Amino acid sequence: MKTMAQSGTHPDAESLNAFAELALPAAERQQVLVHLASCDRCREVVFLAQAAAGAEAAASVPVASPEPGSGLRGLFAGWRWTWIPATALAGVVGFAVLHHFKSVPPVTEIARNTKQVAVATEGSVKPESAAPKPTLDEPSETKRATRTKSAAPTSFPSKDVGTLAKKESETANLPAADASEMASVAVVSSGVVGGSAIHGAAQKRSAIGGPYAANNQQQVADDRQEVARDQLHSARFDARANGATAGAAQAGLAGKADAQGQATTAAAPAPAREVTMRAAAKSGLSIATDEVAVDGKRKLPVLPNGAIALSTATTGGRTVAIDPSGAVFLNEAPGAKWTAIATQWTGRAVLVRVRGTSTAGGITLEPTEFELINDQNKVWSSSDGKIWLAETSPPQ
Amino acid sequence: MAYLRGVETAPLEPAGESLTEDGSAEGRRIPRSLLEELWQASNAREWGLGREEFSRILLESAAAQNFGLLPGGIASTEQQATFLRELKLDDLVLAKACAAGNERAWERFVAQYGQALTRAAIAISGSETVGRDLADAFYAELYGLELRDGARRCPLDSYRGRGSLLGWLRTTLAQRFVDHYRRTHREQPLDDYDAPVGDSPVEASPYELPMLARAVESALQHIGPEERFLMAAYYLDDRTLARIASILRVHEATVNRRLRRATESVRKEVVRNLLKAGMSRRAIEEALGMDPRYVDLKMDLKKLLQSPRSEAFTEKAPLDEKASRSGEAISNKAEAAE
Repeated sequence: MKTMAQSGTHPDAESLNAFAELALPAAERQQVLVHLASCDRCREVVFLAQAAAGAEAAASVPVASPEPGSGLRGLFAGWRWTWIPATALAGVVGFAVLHHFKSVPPVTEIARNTKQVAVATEGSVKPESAAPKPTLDEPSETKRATRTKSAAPTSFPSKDVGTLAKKESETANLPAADASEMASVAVVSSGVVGGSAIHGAAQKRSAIGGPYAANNQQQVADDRQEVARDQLHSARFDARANGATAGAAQAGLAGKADAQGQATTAAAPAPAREVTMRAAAKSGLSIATDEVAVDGKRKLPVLPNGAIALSTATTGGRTVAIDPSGAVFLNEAPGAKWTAIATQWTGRAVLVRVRGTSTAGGITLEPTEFELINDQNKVWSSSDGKIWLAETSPPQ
Repeated sequence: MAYLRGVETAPLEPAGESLTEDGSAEGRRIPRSLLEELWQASNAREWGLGREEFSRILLESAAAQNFGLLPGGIASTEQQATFLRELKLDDLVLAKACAAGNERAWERFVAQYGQALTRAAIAISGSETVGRDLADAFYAELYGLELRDGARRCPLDSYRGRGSLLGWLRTTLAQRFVDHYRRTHREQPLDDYDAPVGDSPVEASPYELPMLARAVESALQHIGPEERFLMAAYYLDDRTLARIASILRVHEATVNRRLRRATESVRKEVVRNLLKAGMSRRAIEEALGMDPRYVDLKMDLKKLLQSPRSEAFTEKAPLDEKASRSGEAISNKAEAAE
């Protein structure tokens, strides 16, 4: 306590208390402040009263008893400043994602470079458009044009297939920068949806595989993926339109693979089953199908059992197709009939594709072999589509 | 009771005398609707206060504080209503009822503020024994055991409801304690006082010291009241930034920033004044690098810093005239209305 001469008058307790409680108007507060600046007695009074109030407040604070619902708040009480670096990190990640997507060429450009294959089978094939409910009797040429325009990866017909397509879109929009998340799930329904499984995976591959294509895939394979995607769109639409593939849809594929590439398959009874192509994506499989040329029109083949092919591959005029139940069929010439291939592999075949041979210089030549992959990520190869031999090394 | 003896009460503390029950309240009545609103919002009915008595209490409070305006100001009807609405009506009627000797009001007062007052006294004095003594003495004073001019006097009668009653009680307790402390310590023999001695203060030349004193005095006269308060509280009273911030109700960092600006401003002003006086920069730096305790002893910085010679002090009216001026303003306004 300091003793010093004071001016003769002091504000009363009313004014000092109102000053400390911010209850004074500005002019009067300034007046008290002027006095406080020059009067250590009143400063002492104000500070002592404030200290007493602080002590009272501290005494009145209840012993820490967590209020209902305050547990989470208390848990993160010490993290209240972490939102700043978290926001900055999110911004950086977002920028990286945007930058990556800008660097990936549009999928539609790749699709245009693929050949247009003739289709000639029974029934009309309705290419898919972005319209929610395409008219079945609409001229196919018009629809094909529409489909070509709407082939962007994020413009799949979400209204057509409901939540299924929504999930597909979500999958397609996954951040490509995260290479470890290449195993992201491409969730699709079974049946027609089996084709969509390939479509989803191919789409994802196109979306996220850009930077990695140079390391893992050849450009030819990428182009075929896009062809397959378009093809499977058509197949799905066709199945919906004709209703002829209900059986195939009910016998659809439900595969689910874990992150380690170990695939598990379950035959779900529901018509809309889900196929998770996590394992295929994780291991870098090229989930591509080739078009089947029939009468000059692009169309997915309808197999002898009435199912829409889940996966097809063509080379040397031969076409191998897998239906959603895993049965493999061979078409040895355009326009010829499909013949069933005896099972020479374990598990269920889920993917067929062609494989090129590479020279010593790394140049890929025309594909000469079929490659069949089962739901356990094991590979069989065949040069004619009839005789299949197991591969020892995992697919590239 | 030692705290009650010999303690000068501040001149501003007596109740305002501008309005009385008969004459001066004429023309200053609170509008009926507003009075009804305030009366309903308060606990006046609980303490047996009628509307007339309640109106008189409000008018007394308003007149003593000129409706929150500076002395000489004339409050508009809206300002008056705002002032009245912002009063702590419950606390005000409780205090008035206690001052009037209402037993039920006293019971409520003791129940509501008894323990808090004791704790506040202990916190203020820093000692439980002294604190309880202080609280007991203050209770006795509140009960009106003290007689002045033959009449029982209750400090609660001077409560005006601007701030909370508990805050007013704490502040009054602090006033009592500080006044008692200062009074008793004046009587302390000088032998007990050990003045701090600097280790080896740098001696300023007899030529520089008067220049430095004038420069500092001039610089301190140009800072505002808030900066002056900050510097006085921080450098003279050794208050922490947190305590100052709690008084001003701002963040501690804000106090720190303002204090730094004020200090830099004073220093620049001192340097500027010294340069004008003809000192070289090197000599100025050496002079400003002197031990502040030495400067303090020689120049009495406390006196300079707390000198009421600045513009802010001279322009403002003395606080002790506030109550009387507010009464004059009200009477002048009444005359003007006539």
